[in-house]
Amino acid sequence: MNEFVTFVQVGFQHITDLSATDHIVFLIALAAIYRVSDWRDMLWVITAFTIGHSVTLMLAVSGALRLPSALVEFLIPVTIVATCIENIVVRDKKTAPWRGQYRPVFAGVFGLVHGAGFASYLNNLFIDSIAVPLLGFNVGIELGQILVLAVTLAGLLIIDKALVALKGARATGWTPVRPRAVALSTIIMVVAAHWAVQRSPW
Amino acid sequence: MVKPVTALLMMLALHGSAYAPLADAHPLHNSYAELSYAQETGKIAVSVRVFTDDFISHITSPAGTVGSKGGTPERRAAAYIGRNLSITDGRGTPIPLRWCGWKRAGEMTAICLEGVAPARPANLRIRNTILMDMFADQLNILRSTRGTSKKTVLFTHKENTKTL
Repeated sequence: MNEFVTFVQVGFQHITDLSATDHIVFLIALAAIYRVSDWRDMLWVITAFTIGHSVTLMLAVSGALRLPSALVEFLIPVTIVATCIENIVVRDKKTAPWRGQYRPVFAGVFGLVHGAGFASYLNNLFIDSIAVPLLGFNVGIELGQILVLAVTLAGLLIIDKALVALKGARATGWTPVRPRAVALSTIIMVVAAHWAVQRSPW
Repeated sequence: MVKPVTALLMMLALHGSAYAPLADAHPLHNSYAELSYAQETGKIAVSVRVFTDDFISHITSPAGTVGSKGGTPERRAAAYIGRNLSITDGRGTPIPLRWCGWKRAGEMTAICLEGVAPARPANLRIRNTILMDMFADQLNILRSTRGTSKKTVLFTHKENTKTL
């Protein structure tokens, strides 16, 4: 197995490990407002998130950026809370600023914070040649995110079907997306706010 | 105005969130080792990099000190590494590794080990379970250099032994 494949595995296992709760929860929060048919919009948001965390990871691992890890670990749940607030507050993308097209920018900026989260750890591991491990790690993270999102979308589909059946609303055209997004975002927001308090550096 | 279904789901959500697991920050649980092997002389040199806080807390914990409760931190560390990093030749004969010190650098501790394989085997079999008894997601990376050839392998809970 070569070095690239090894680090793809490290990145993939890092993001899909169940103890990586904060990253997984952030991805679920990003996906909470979408229908399965909105997968293109979701892909843009996730790609922006990936670009964001790749940029910070590269800057941090190359030594160009140094951030205190306590601050970064606190900011990660803050980004989750902010995403959930946006999910709850913005009722309709059409009436939102820029018709809701700001979401990829939003995800990209938050990706910068998440990338800094593991940058300091990777930075310590590499003694020399960081390019191949870094690329492999990022590819692994991306593959892991795709898996997490696929599972999330399947879960959301099941929740939607259950809500429609519960309300007996198949014939009326009622859509469960809004209540599901609000409920999911509320759970995640409360949990992430608790993490933020736990990790507060002050 | 909040609709009844949304209100009900929000109440359930708030109730359920009280039982949600707490998450610690999610650091990478990895170690990184570099191994060089000169087959013509049989000399093996290993440098293992571990996160100091994890390693020190583990070798001073009951789980990490099985069989080596006494002694200085360095002796405990040497005993722990001896139990969790081993090399055998192609026939399964252990190649003793001698502790040649440790050095702290930033958040990492670099551990030095040396050994000689008298039979100068073509292949080395390595078992690396460092900190796997502490973390369920521990991954140990090892990069080997043998002449001009380099190889990187990953040790996991499921695959903790590899042949180089």
